[in-house]
Amino acid sequence: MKAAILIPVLTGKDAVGADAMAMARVLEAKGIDTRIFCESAENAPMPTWPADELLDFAGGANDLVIHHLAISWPKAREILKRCKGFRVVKYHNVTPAEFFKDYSSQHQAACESGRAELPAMVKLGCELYLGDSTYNIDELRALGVPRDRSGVLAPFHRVEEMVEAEADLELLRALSDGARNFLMVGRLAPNKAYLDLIDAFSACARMLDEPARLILVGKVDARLSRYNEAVHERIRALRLEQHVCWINAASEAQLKAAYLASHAFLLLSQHEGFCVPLIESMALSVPVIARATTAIPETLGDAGILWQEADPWLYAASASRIFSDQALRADLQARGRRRYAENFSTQVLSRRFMDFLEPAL
Amino acid sequence: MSKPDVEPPIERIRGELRAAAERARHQAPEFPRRVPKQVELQPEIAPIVQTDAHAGATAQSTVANVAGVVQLGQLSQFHGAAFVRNAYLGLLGREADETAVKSQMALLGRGISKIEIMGNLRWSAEGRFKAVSVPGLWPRYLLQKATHVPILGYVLQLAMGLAGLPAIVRHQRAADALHVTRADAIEQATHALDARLQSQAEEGARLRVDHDALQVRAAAAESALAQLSEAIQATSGLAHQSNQQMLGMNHWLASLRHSLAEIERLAECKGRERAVPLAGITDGLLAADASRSARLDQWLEQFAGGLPAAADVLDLGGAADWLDRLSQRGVSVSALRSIGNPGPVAGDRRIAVCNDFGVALSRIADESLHGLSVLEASVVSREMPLMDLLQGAFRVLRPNACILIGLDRGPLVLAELLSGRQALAMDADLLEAALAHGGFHDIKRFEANGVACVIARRSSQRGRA
Repeated sequence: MKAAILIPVLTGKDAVGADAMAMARVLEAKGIDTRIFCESAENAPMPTWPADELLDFAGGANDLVIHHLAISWPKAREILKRCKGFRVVKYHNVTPAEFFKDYSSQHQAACESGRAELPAMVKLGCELYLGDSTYNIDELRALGVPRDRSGVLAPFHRVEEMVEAEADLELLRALSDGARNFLMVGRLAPNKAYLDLIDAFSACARMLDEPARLILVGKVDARLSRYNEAVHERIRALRLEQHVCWINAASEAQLKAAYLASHAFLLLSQHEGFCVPLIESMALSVPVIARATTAIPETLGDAGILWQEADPWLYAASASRIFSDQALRADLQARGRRRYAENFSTQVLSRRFMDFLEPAL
Repeated sequence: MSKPDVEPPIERIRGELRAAAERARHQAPEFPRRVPKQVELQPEIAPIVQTDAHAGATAQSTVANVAGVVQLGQLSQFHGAAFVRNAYLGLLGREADETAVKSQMALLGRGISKIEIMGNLRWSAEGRFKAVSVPGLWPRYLLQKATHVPILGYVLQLAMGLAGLPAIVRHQRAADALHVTRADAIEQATHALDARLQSQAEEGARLRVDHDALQVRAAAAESALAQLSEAIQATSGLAHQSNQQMLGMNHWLASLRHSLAEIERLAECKGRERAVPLAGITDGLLAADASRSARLDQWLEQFAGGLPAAADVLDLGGAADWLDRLSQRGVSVSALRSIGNPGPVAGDRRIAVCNDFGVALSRIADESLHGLSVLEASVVSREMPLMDLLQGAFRVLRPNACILIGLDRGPLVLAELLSGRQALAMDADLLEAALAHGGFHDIKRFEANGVACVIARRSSQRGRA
């Protein structure tokens, strides 16, 4: 038996790439000859093969093919159609195009195209469809994926590597200056609701009696310049220029330093298919205050404070309470660590992954 | 038990947070409204025009006022990699990948003009698909391409060079001036860099010293850690040993308890075995003692006459005929018999068997009894010294309660004799003296058929009456 991981672009740092590479490692560890097939790779620490060669390697009846679906890529459908073995589609969600309507027609078109491909992907009738969350898999089930051929498998991640990695001590020292640090990790995109986040942080800064800082760790996309500028404009309008620390394309050491220096993770995102930064916060004991949208409540569980509304003052009151109520803070941190260990540790995910693949092995 | 302080219910906290948020909202000024604003060109990398990849139509630019139109100057103002990236963004609507940047930079390095690079992009398959309009690019691009035609291209370049010679000379002068200024700036920057390098080298040397010191401390810490580890290991061994000893002790104690229980069980069995024939003999002897019934009636009259209705009375010895008499007078009577005494008690529920009268008496609450009777003091005193008996009696009896101590020859004495033991020799004088000394008053002696008993009342306070 051979196994192939099919992904359009393998990137060393993003969540989908991390999931794909971890799956390959788990399968390799089980003694299964596994390769990753893609169109292109960026900073990937593993060897890759051209997608066109997948059928020669793992197109047989006893082989396994796992496709990571996150953007439009018609070629994947063509390849899966010709595979004779056990086919798995891992759905990471496609951001609804409406979020980009006012900011980028290019993104809007890409998302519309990705969403338009979903029914055809379901129609393929693959042997197994997996979603990062119930929220994700329910989208495919609504399109006709049967329950007995679908399930939820949280994405593999690099949290344990990050916990083991050395933090950027310079950055850690610079951020540990006595100010209350709020953290947000995620690319700068409209669905992440950075404008709401800036408002919530502004309320936090006004409500707290001590200096506050918002640490934004996320890649800036030049094609979303209109949105980027809107965020900068909001920061200027609220006179928060001196309170916002922006780390673009952070290294692992910088990311770890940001988590270690932070007192709360603030998330007002309007669309998340899973949200890996939430489990990073849980593993590193950063209390979470988040907006209860899409897959966020499912990922966070009872390990944080959730609000349906985007009302900035609710987030400010929550932060103030977390900073002053040691018992609550310790309780949230303990719940986070427990939730991570029980549901999202690599060991747990590996076991669930192999359970799902049992019919093929 | 609820733990509100340790694990506060989240719903209560949410309610409190809502109230706090409401208070903060009322106290703070309103948030400024979000106003969309025209985005300005960024100095290095900025998108010039975005094109719709699927429809092929030009989309709204973030900077240009006219949709799908880029001015030559907007692109050519940049240099090097910034020029290449902006050209890709402006003409193809996407980021240039690293390979593309490298190859275009190589062309620039070979002297290919920006016009030609822009033209190549604009009229590539992808560029024609995007169809971004760049006024003035086409004739310039055509002219640049014509220079590549053999002979004609050379003549064209010569003509263009001659025609542009005055401008080239002017640019040359301007470039000379610029280069001199830049060279000065570079020299100054080099000096500054030298100074910083020197400072960094000194800092590096300091760090090396610190590093060495830290290594020494780390080695010391490692050694201390090793010692600590050894100590922990030794302590762990001791703890394990102690644990084993404790387990052994526990086992030994359990075994001892088991043995004691077995001994007690055997003693009780033996007592019961003895009790059956003893009961027969003593019953016969007591039945033969014709004066016993009259004697006990007399003592009862004196003893029970001083008791209140339904009085609580304890009897040490437990002769059945005495207990019957007390019960018939409405007294709530209980009796204790020592396990050491083989007297016949089997089957009589009123009589509890105890190991030690002293211990049994100590379990009775202070001043809880109305009366205490001991018919055969000569036997009971062998189990519990008379003075201890009187001290215990003083504690458990209520003030003015009755005590009866007899020197009767009842079932206990007979059982002692039949078991080969001998009762203590006591007399009434001794009893009277002991009672007086033990805090009892109103001491009276009664004698019938040569058998005496003494009845007294407990004083309010201890001391000789």
